[in-house]
Amino acid sequence: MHIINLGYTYEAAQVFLRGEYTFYPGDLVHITGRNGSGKSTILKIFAGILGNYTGTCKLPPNWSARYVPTNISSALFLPWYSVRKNIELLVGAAQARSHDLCHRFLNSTFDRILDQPAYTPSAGESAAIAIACAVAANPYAILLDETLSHAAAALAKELAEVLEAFLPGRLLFVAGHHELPFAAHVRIVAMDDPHDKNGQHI
Amino acid sequence: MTRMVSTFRSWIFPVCALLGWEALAQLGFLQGRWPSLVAVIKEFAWDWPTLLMASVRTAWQVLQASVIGVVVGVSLGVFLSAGKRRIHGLYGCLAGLKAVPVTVLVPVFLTLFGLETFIVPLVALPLSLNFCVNTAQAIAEANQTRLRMLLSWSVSYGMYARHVLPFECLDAMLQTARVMLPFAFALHIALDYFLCIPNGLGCYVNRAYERQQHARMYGAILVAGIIGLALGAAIDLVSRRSLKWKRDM
Repeated sequence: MHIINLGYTYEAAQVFLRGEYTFYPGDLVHITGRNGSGKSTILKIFAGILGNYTGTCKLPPNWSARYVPTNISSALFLPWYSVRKNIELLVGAAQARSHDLCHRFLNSTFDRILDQPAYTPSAGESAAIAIACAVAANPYAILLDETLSHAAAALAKELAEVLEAFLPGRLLFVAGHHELPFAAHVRIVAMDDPHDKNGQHI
Repeated sequence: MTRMVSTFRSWIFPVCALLGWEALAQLGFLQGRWPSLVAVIKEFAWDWPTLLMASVRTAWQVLQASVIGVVVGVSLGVFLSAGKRRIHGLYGCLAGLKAVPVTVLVPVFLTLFGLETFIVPLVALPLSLNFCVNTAQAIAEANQTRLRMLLSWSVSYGMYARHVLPFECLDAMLQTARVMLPFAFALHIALDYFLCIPNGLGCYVNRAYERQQHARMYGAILVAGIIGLALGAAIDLVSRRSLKWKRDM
């Protein structure tokens, strides 16, 4: 995966990831930067959610990504369905594996929330479920937008272990300000400070 | 407890209005064309089978028109949203037709459907046009970020159409129903009032008025009000049940 001077323009601001970066399978990348610097935007570009960006973003031919947003329960999960139905929709055939992973993260809590509406789990529980779904879908890359910061330290560590097991041959991008609970080597990429629409630093 | 208070508040004013009516009649303030509430109830007790049949005929035709209007309108709205630019002209035509007062179309529908059967399609027309335009608009305004997010999770367009769009459009559909179903009921009564087809509530009110049977006329107006209230309550109930997730989030 190769990117050069990636940028995106909103109505009132521009965000940039300046420089040239090549990411290889097995890379664990921590995207940092100020609030509003475009960390989420960059992940959305990688996921194909945002188009019309400037710069170059060459993705591998077998690219597939799962983007886990910050506000999981309203942006990713369908709040009118149960947790179980959301898992079925998001991972389809890999459903059993995601259920096992959810069980591992959430122990007995998972059985309690499985048939509850998808907006009822806490932010940490939602993060664990979303990460389990992403891992079970077995994509080329997982893109976590502040997701691990929702989980308590013990849960975050456990999630990090599972993500590290997923990592060989794949890519993991984590956007956020917090220190990451990974044992593996982390590449740090810093976003440029945000600009206004005239290109001036905000 | 809150629901009980809310129910009490919504019923207290109509009940007070009825009691006030009876009090004014007993005190002799209502003369001539204003019968007392007791007289209306007595008349209702005497003539309830006819009034019931008239109400059933009206409710049945409004139900038929509503089902036709909702099914045709929503289907057409989905078709318009799924289509390419060349059918956007059709959307403009329908939006324009929506602006035409439906009552001026009475002669057209009389010619097309005949005197006995024209009311149901005529009442269904504004329903279907409003549901069509509002469905197309609701689909166009559906959360595009959620769509792209789900597509990136390999959720197909078909699954999106089945599992996401109906729920995203539900609020707009219920709002349309809240406005259009009482309108359909009122339109039916108005047409029936002047044409006495299908001999429903409107015709009942008209005949009572022409024969100077005022107690009977107010009885029918009260029944129409109760049907209108029941219609609103039914839509509220469906809305509360189906949009629970939206309130709880």
